Amino acid sequence: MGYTWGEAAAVDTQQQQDALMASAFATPFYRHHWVTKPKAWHELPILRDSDLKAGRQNFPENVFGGRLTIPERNLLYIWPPSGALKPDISIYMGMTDDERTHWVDVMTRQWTILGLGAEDVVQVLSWSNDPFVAVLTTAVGGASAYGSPAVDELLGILTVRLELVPSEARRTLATAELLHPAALFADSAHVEAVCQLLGTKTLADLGYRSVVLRSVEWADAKTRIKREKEWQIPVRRILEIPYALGYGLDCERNPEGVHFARDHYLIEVTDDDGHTVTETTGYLTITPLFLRSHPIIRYQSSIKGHFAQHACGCLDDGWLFIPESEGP
Amino acid sequence: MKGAFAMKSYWDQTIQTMRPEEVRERQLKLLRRQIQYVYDRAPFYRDLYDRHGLKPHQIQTWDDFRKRVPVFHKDDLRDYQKRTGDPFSGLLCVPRSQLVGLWTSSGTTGLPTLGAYTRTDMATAIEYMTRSYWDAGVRPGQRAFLININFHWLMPLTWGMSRRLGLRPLLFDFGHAMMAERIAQWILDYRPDVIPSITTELATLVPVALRKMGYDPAGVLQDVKMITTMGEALTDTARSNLQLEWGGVTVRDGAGCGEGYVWMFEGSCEHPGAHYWGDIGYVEVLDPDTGEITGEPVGRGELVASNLLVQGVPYVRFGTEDYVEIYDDHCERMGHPYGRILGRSNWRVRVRGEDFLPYDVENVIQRYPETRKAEFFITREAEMQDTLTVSIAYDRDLTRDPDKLLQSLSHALENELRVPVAITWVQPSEIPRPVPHKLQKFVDRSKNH
Repeated sequence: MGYTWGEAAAVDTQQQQDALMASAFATPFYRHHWVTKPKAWHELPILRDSDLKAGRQNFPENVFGGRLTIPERNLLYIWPPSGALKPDISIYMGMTDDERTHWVDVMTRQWTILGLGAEDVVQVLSWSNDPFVAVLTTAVGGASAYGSPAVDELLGILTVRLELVPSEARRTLATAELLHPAALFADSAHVEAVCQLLGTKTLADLGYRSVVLRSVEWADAKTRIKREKEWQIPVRRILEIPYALGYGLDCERNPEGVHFARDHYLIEVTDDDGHTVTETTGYLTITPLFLRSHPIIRYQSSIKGHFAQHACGCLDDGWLFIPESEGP
Repeated sequence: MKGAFAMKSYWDQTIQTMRPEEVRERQLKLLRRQIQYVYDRAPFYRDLYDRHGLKPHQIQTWDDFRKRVPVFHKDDLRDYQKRTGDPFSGLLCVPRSQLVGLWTSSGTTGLPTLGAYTRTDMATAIEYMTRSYWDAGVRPGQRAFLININFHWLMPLTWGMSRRLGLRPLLFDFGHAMMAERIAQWILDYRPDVIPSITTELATLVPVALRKMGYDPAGVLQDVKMITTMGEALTDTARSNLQLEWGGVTVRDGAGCGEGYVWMFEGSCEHPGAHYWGDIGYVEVLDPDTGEITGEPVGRGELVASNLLVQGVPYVRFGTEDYVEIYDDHCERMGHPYGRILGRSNWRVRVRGEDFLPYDVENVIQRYPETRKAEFFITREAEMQDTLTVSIAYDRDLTRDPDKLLQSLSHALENELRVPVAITWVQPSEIPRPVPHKLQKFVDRSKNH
């Protein structure tokens, strides 16, 4: 008697869901949000930004709004993913060393799929309140001898940390001219600013093999093709759900869709009432299974879309989610 | 604070309490080793030393070191880079595969140059940073508010220090002045004990933002035990202002040179200035007019840095273009040298035979609430000029009579600096900002004349 791989993965996911539900229900936030002890996953109320903000007000003892399952001192970093200029109640996130390791795993796979490997140089544009760099760059997140390696060290890549604002395009260009990076992780405004400084040169002339758009904005397939023509370089996209530590990568074979690592994220599509839908359009709803310190369970993003009805032809056996909106 | 942490006043007592002569002995030993190391591995140094007829074995004494080892500057690195196409300007001493991180200079004085860390280098750098913060009184478990710049050399070191010390860090983005209100909100949310790196400009603006939001800044900020200012030399006036506005907070100033592993950070000593760790970096002072190194590494001049332990990208006698003052006095607590960085050495304006830096002006104008933000620049009109010209932006909300303020400021500056001063009012947007987190408080017009 044994399991096939798919069955074993399903059992594993179920176990992770059960563990998450149990630990979440021990927190004041989820006791309040769920009201009664949950029996089945699909009965759980979905979670929206407004719920998380209400948590900040209802449970003001720390910045996690009643969601912490562990002492705050056990977190490696705490950050508010919202932009620094939005005057609103901030939602805070954090990560433990173990959660960082899971996240490193997610991103290492993505970089491998993107064809990045030993001896490549990669420019990563980020905000410094954004733990993306802590995951990607040993120089930041692993802090040398005191932590586990990040994506770049695992893959033998050198990363250049840069600031994700168009006014810093000159620095991006200057380091590209010196190091000929294989990829640039940026948002489209920054890439535009770099292209304007290039003159008659192209990004490919500097050695870039691809641009990876990292942003909560989602460029649809048409926009992606348009940018590929303008920038004369392959463009890939990461779909980021910052309040769920969610990072999906567009599918090389079906570029209109996004894959999330299925052993790290549970992806659903839900409607306005929070019910699961399978064949129609709804909102991308995500649960990071590895996030135990302050669980985010069935987080409904504002990204609309649907699941592909057929198995994706690529090697990824995860769900292919096809976004339809430009995102939040 | 309980137990051993409360008792331990030094992070590394053996190293920190070395006597000055022990520090010097160690420095010479490490410099000799480093000169051999770079000569064997780095094409830039082999080229430089061969051109100067220098062989590493010729360096046996301090006298040999001072007379024979050439000083180089960033322009020499840029030239080498242009000539050879080597992004590391011939300084890299290890295979690229051993590097775990790159960083770029801030680009204040031109195109940014590259720096890099091996794992060991990073551990060294984090060690000196941790030692400094411990000496300043930061302790495990404290809530820290980390304001950083993504490309900057300080960011990995501050994050690493935070992990090494067991702080509880909240990450914050780019310390740009326009984010003051957001920072104020997050300080209200998180109630940090320590803010390890904040520009003086931003530290000045946070209380203003809190006041606008309807809070009493001193009441909110009195829970913050310490802030450390970075980015430009902290004047005595700015320090007093910050202490007042932040409800009695301890203000420590820090400045350094990423390439040289020289980090001057105010710790628990009571003397003015800040120690740098002499077992990791060596500092000399160069007279920017003559290009000569002063006999003993004390006095005012350009900071020349050598890192003593670095494996990846070592710098030996690197002219940093920072203007520094190294004190001659000995400290009772620690045998490591101390001083302070006052600005950039090419930001000096010579008026009637005396050199002035933006620092000198800032110290005076910050005494006035209307110019407390220190949005100004001084102008070099000629190699030698009769009048110090200063362009200042005043706070429109606080200024009733600009003419009267101008008169008062001129009088105060002339009284303090003992030279004629000409002030022009400008808009804040007219102050050059080469990188978003820094105002450039110096403009050179001498070449236009």
